Amino acid sequence: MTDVATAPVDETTAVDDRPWLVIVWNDPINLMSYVTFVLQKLFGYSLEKATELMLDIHHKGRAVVSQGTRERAELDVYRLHEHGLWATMAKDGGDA
Amino acid sequence: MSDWSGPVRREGEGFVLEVDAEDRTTLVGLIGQLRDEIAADGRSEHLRRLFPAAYHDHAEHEAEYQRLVHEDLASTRLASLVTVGEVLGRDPGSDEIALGEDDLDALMRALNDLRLVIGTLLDVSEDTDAGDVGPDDPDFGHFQLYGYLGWLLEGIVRARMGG
Repeated sequence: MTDVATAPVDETTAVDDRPWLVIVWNDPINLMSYVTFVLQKLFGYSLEKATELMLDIHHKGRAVVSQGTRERAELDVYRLHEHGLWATMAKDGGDA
Repeated sequence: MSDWSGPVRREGEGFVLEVDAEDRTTLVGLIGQLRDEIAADGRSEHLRRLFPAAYHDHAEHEAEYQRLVHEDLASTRLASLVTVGEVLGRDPGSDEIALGEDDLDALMRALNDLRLVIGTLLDVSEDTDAGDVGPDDPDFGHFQLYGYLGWLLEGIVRARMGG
């Protein structure tokens, strides 16, 4: 954990190349088959890859489903929200 | 071919949804209700799962995202629900509705939205077992509905995945 209060980061001067991670969180409502299908549809993943991610979400509570620039990640989050999945984004190495 | 005989099957370039008049009326009613609620105020507490936070650890970015994106997400949902309302109004005398992939996907998202809202109202958790809810329970009807929507959604997903 980082102590934010004592370690201020000035984003305007620090060059930060870490990608943004798109995370899907486990939730008790969405069907497992539906989550798998949405991951295939939105990201073009194979059934195997999408199933593996879905099982990670289900068993570990969350999984990183894509990563990239902030703009790219925001678009992915938006599309996941459109499909009712519980997705958020955070900087790699942050509290993801 | 799957041996699971669900409510949706592929036919030619499209799909066929089996739904009787009673279920059709129920679905049209629910979808209309959700459409009206989102149009009136998408920020009601029980709609929260339809509009989640995008940044879980950055309040400033989150406020900006919500400011820029909430309306878009609400209008996309509304447009999709209008489409689904129209689709469910087709061939009113029949127990089957023919529909294309885009319409089926709109229906899939709408059914999932309804499950998210009803599941939130029922406070569904990982430990919830709808089988434990008896006919005397005040939530029995809602759990029945929640189960029906799940069955229908599963049928759509299987038909879409099943090539």
